[in-house]
Amino acid sequence: MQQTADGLISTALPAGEGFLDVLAIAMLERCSKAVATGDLSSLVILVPALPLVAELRSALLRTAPRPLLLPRFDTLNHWVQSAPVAGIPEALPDSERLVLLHEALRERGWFDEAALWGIATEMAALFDELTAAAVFLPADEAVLAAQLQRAYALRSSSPLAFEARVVHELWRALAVAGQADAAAVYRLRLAALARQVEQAPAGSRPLLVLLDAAPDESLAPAERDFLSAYGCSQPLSVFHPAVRSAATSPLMATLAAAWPESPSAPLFERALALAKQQPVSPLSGRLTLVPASGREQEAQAAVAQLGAWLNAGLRRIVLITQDRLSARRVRALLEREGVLVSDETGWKLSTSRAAATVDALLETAAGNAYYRDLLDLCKSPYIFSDCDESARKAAVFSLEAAIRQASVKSAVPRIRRCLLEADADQAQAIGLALLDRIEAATTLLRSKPAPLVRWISRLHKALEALGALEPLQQDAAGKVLLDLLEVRRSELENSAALFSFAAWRDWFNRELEAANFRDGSISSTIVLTPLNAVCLRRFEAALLIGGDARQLAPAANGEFFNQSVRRELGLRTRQDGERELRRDLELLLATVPRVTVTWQSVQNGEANLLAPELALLSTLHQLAWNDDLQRSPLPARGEAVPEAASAPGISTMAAPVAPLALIPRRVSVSAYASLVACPYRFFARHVLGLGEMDEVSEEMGKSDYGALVHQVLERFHGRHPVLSELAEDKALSALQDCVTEVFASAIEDNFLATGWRLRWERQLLAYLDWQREQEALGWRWVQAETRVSRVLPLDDGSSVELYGRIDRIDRKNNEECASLLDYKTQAAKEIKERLPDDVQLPAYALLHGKAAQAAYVALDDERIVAVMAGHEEAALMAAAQAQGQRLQTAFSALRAGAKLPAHGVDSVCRYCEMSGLCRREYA
Amino acid sequence: MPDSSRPLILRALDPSHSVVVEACAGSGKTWLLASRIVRLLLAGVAPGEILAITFTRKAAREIEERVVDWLHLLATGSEAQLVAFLAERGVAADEATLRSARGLYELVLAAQPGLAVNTFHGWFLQLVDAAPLSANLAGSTLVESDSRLFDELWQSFAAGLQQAPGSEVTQGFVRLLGEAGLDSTRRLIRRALDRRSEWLAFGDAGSDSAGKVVAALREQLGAGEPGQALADFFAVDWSPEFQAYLDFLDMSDLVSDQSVAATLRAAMAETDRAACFAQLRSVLLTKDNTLRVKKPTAALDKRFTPQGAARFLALHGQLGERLIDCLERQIAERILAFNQDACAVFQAFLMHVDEFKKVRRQIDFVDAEWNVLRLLRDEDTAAFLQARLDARYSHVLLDEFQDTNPLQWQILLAWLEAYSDASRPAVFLVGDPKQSIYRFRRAEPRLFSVAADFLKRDYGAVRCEQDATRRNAQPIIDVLNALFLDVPEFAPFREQTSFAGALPGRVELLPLSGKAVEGEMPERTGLRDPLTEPDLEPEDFRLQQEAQCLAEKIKAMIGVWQIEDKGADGQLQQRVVRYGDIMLLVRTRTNLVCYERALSAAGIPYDAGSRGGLLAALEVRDLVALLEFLVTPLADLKLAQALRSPLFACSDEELIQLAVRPESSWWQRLEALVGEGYAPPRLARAAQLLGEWLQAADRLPVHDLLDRIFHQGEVIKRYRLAVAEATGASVEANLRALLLLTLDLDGGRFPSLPRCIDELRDLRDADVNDAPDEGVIEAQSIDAGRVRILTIHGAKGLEAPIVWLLGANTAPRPPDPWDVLVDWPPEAPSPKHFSFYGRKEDRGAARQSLFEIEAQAARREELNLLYVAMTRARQVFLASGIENAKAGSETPYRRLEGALEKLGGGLAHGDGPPMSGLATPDAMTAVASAESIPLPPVGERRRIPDAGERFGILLHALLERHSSGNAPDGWWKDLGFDDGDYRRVLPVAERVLAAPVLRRFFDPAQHRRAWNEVDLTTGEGELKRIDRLVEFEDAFWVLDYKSSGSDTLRLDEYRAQVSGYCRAVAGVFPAREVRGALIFADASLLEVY
Ligand code: SF4
Repeated sequence: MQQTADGLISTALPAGEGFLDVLAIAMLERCSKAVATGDLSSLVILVPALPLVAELRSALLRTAPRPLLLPRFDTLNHWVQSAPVAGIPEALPDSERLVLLHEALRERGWFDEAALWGIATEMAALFDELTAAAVFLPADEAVLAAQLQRAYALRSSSPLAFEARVVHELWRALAVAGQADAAAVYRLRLAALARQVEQAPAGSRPLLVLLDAAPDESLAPAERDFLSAYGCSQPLSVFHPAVRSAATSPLMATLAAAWPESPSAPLFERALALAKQQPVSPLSGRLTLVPASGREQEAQAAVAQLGAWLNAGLRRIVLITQDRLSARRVRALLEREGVLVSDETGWKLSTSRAAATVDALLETAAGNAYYRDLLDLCKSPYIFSDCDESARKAAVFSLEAAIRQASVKSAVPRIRRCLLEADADQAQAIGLALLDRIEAATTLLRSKPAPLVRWISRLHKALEALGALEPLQQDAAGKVLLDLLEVRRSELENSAALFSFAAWRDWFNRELEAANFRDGSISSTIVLTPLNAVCLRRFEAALLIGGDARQLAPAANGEFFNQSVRRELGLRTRQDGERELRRDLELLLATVPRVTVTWQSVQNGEANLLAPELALLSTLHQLAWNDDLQRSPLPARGEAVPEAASAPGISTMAAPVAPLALIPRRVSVSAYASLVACPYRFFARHVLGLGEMDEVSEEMGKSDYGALVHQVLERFHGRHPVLSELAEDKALSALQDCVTEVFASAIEDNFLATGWRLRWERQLLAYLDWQREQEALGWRWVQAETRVSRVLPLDDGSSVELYGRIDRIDRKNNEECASLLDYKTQAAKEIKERLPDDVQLPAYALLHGKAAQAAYVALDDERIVAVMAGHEEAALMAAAQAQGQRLQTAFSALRAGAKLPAHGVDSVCRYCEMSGLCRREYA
Repeated sequence: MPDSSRPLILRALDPSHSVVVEACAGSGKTWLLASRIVRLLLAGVAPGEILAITFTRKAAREIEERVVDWLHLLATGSEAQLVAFLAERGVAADEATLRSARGLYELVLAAQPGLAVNTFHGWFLQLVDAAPLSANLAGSTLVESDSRLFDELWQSFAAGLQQAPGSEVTQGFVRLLGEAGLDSTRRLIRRALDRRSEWLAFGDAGSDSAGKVVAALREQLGAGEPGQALADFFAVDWSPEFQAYLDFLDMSDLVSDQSVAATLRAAMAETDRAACFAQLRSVLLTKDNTLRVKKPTAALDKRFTPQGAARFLALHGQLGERLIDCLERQIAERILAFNQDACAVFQAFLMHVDEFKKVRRQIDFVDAEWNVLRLLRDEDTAAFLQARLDARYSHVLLDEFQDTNPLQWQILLAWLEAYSDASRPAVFLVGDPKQSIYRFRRAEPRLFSVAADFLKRDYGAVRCEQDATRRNAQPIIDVLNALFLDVPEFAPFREQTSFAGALPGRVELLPLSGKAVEGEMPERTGLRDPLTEPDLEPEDFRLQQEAQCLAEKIKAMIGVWQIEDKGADGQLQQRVVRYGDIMLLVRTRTNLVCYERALSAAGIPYDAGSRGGLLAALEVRDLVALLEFLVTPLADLKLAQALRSPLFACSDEELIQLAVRPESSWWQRLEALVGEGYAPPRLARAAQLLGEWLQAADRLPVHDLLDRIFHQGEVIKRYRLAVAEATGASVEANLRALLLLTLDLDGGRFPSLPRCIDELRDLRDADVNDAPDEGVIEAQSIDAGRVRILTIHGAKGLEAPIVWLLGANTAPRPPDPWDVLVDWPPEAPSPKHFSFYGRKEDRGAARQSLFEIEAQAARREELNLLYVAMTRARQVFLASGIENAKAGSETPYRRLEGALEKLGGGLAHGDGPPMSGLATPDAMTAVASAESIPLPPVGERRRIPDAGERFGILLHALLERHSSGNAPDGWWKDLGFDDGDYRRVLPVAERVLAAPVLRRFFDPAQHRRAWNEVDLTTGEGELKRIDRLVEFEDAFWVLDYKSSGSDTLRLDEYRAQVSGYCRAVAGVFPAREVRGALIFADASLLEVY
């Protein structure tokens, strides 16, 4: 038995596997009279956490001497909150308090606007801590500052005074608001309830309480006061598990030796003493420490251990993890094998798909319907629920195709325009309707500053406009989200402070971050829960994942003050946290007969130490019993094995044969070039007909530049076929005009395109010089973008048509012969290097038939030059014939069943979009 | 530790004074630092009073681990072990010392605050965290300012400029674009952004760094406004002297002189000054703007008479100088104008960045760094920070000090300043300027001596030098000494010695790979037949040859060469070489692919040295393609890739079957083909799985989806079957890394598949440094290990028996133009110079010395890199490279060649290749994971209650609430019902409650007691819960609510149920009569017991 300073008496029972049975017996004994009547229903039993209720109930069932009407169970907090007590004021909702703090901070202008919600939240947490610890700040700010000075051991200084001032002024600002917050109301309730109980007939309201630690540690001061008052007028029994230092069992003695409150002798000596008392380790077989070399290895080790337990017939297993990511990984691996885990912890609402949908909506509104956000929103399963699913998906496809094709970055009207240009069909019609609804929804959200409730209504309406309410309602997280909004709407009804979209969104995001949702759809004997929720529950085995020093650490305290100040103020310190952690571990080890701890001894290539508690235990154990409890992981569970029928063989170089029906009858010059560069690439593009989807271009790139330069020149020469007829300055300004016109929309789209325009503008004079030279040689611009084609006969009697488009054709005065020109925004040197393998120019010559010369115009050097293919007409035409011949041979071979091997060279493969098909990297 | 280093160790570890240690590679710096920490603890220093700072997180964790391991040893070791351990560190082991040594482990583990081993960055963040309010950084999150963030900033900045086309900044920006081009402008700003703490420091925390930079530069360059130089040139009467020069030329009858004279004459007649100047320039100066050479010659004397010739030459010189001077001033004008624009744009950009981050509450490392300096330089705040930290450091240990940058040093100084003299800490500083290789992170090796001097002067620090290595074998040290001793840039370099004893060693150069041999490329007549003849690329031939040689040599070494290794007993033993003993080093990652491909082809397992390439690996691309298909089913090519990947392993022929079909998308084709019923098994499997995944993709989080794909798609095993043995492990590692990557993406806020794919795409396109790295291959997967490929930077702190430096005959790439030039002398509190620069010809004479310093530092760093590379090798150091005439004589290869020359010539030094007679290749045996026993199914998904059941649940609840009289408004919402549900159920409940036959069960006046939802136990050890139990004088009534009508078909079942309850109640109250009844929704009562 243990009595606290305020007179509360609590009975310590030895912690161990049988704790609940011992407890049940003790409880039954305390109310033996009622037991004799068979009716315990007027009794209330308070437990530290609800999952314990079922366990304690079955313990009573096991130990009761006779059939019984069972008592009511509850937790202290819930019981107090729901007890009917008159005259208790409504608590100031936390959400409203937060708005008050935010306003107070905003008025004072100390911090950046964007920081305010964060600071307000911190402050609220600090004030709750203060209230819970029954600490009241001094009325005078200077006194607080002095108190801080003392604790920091620091002379007065402006940052210190500022810290004191921030805390103090906000504390006062809240006090002025006049409404008690939830923590304070809880205190009031406790006091009122105590009075009420005092007046009840003696013995009419018996109460049994189970605490997870001695009252000093597990109860807040006000709760302690309440219980001691209760005990004065009503039958009250309080129980808690005995602390390890009481050494109620060999195991507890071992833990006490590992984690003494204050070490009396070095670990070494304590271990030897222990070993002398207990020749056999109470921990061996109970605790195993398993290092792993990374997250995946840890998850696999955990699953392997769980598998071993399951196969040994164990079922009631707890998975403890402080790290949600690892938990998720383990859960997925287990689900693979049909083992489902019931998750008691829950997830942040912000990590749910439902929240992501809402965020996509907000992002779409904030970013003027940036296409990625818009498509993200459209692809959410929660919107447009009133629309047939397959029709909706088809509409979203057509919308996406239109956006990609037109390369529209944002703005609903522009997106609508590009969709209108697509083929009118059902998908288009639905797509347009979807866009209208999105526009309506985002318009609602792009409004003036308003109180939070208004914003909530706007969001609600926007979701309604999207047909999202119903599906969200059906979804576990979605429902939590909508309910949360509803609750806030009613709490904040009277709060009139105005918030901009950004500030409101910040608030909303924080709400989603703070709120939790649990997927209750799984029922399983394997539960996932945090360490402190395991307390005293009778599992057959426990797996603690993340036993390293960083994760298995005492819970963090708030951001304010340091440890000595917190101690001085009477707030929780890190030491309290550490004590709790040890306590939780102690209960875990005492109540669960098999505990395995995994940790990543290496994390991203860095060493990662075991948590101190476990390291000490391991070391003690090694010293006492020559075993550090560490074991290597069990072999990972095997991966799924493929069936022979569909299993892959080792990759080899692809070399398919094209079926006759798919061999194209017409090929462009560039398709032909791709056949020459790599037959497989030709196969993928022109036989299979595959190609990359269009991408929305965010910024102008080199190829866009080339296209614009082509346009400029086409336009310029179209207006002024003969340059020498223009004066020099006129020519320049005419060309400049074309540049300005052609580049205008690109620059409007993205200002950085100015850089490309400037780049081309630097070349203008050089270009005009070159053009004059050409004219001096007698060449005249004749035509741009000329389509040419030619049919070539093949061996099997069929034929293939080669076609292309020539950038520019010049002719000499009165002469038949032509010069074929192709603009390239590249340096002459580069072009020259590739000329020997060039397909394009000879192919143009072939298609044109009567070219005197063919050249690339290199537009990237200081001086512009034409790089000629073959300096004489004869050589050019010979090359042209050879290309034609090669095409005929190759196509004849294809039609005769030749293979199309994937044998491109590195420089081609590097930018080849078909590399995923040819599997070259594996072959 | 061998004896000769004892005195040094004893001095360095003595806790009573500050120490500066300069210690060469392999001499055990970490050992020394960790040992000092142990000594401090032994001397009673509290763990929380110790702060150790090192350069990387990895190193910090290593030090921490080392200390803790040692303390563990002290806590658990035998007395003899303890005595030896302490003696090695200069501590006599008396009884009390032993006892306290044994206690240290526990002391350190439990210490609050604990021992702090941190990086500079980590420590700065901690400081910023300590004063969130003063720093106005509350609630900020740390973001790494990576290339993706920069892109976003850059785009939004440009968009902002567009809004203000007329503004100064926009105009400056356009000028910059015109001058530098788009890419270089971007680069310039990015580089400046990386160095903005120096920019801020230069501006001395004021908001107008731009103004200061420009003003300082103007002064330094002596430059005026654009055009000033030209105006000045023409301001004085310039023509007489040029006229005189022209007169001379006119006297000459040389054709060349006459043509020059013509130019000069034209120039003097020219009215446009710029044109005139250009012509004058061409008369006297060469293309490169140097004076045309004119020497006194007999011919000249004859032409102009000797005096005339002298006068002519003097004129030539003077006029040339004036022109050169003017040109130089014009350059200065251009530099200034360029800097004015760059500074204005950069300042505007910084404002944009600050605003951007302020709104998002983000800070990055530079912000942290800068804020810490600002806070610490304020006396009040500095003291407050120290107080807030909970830790009063009495010992500060600085590791790898050569990698510190001036700003970090200033912060340290400010930190030390904040101590009052009495309480100021002892400082331990260790480093090796020879291993300074982080210039790109602004490391300043010269700081070492500045700091050493400071500590000596103000802290009375003892200085030690350690030039003996325990790592490298003597022959390696021989070559090292021969190589570095006479290199002036490497001074001061003291001859090194080796304590490695009899360890055999060898340094070997492989012959350089030659040029592509003529005739290697087959001569062809006519065009190549693309169907049968692959193209050939000649360029990388030399590199391929080097890679080939690498692979062959490794194959020849494995299992044949001998190395010495510590056996299980800690003794050195000989054993044959395994793959894991070999470390390949490269200077840059440029040519890695080529080496890796050669290793792959030879079946040599290796850990890729590539970085940032996870998302470019084929297997990862396959899965990402699959995911892209799942969000965008019209992506035919993505689908085709997934089909071709080992996941579905479809052949091209199977793709052709899809290609010939008429449906519009490939997915529709696949569905249709399979729907027709005679699709090949692989396509059928694909259609079925893809169909399921398409459904799942809507709602499952990405990681869960991908995990399902891995499992159902048998991904790991299938890829293993499809790729060669040697690459299997890396493929698997990559696949698993992708899973973890999606887990991380999922863990963040607002996960959706489309967003995740956008994110993956952005990550793929990010800089190598910011893109996710390839998966790490699990060490134990193959016991012979894998050859490691590392950059020299990545190898820092590591060692291997055999080290091979690849590409050793390559000169470093010249620094890129368009950058910022910063001069921060190590002893100065802030930078002395900050400016932007562009093309080589526009650097200006005034800044020449600064560029020179940079160049020298760069040369020094190349030497340091070679030093680091060589000192990684315990026994064998090899180097290879390619023939490269342009690379010059200062490549590592040439330097090594020179050193070997000194040691007697040839391509090798030291012991012969350590052969063993027998080739005993370690078999590569992948651990076959045993077939696992299937797991029993556990858990089930709860069926979602149908409408009827939900009605029942709410009815029960309503009756219960109503009859217990305690229900807050809206309680049904907590149970998951809405107001509509409530309104539907309410009349039914009211009907029941109001029904006369049921009256007595609900009216407290008509019964004794009543319970709702009461639990009871039975004698058979069962638990039961009863809807309502009512006690009357004569009997107990058990009531069970049913939401159906009394005509239900399940009556028998209900009857049995209630009977059971009744028996249970009878068990509790054996003396009482018990009756049971059903209450239906129509308010009827049916007595059943
Ligand atoms: S990646 Fe190379 S081999 Fe494969 S299709 Fe493309 S070009 Fe051909």
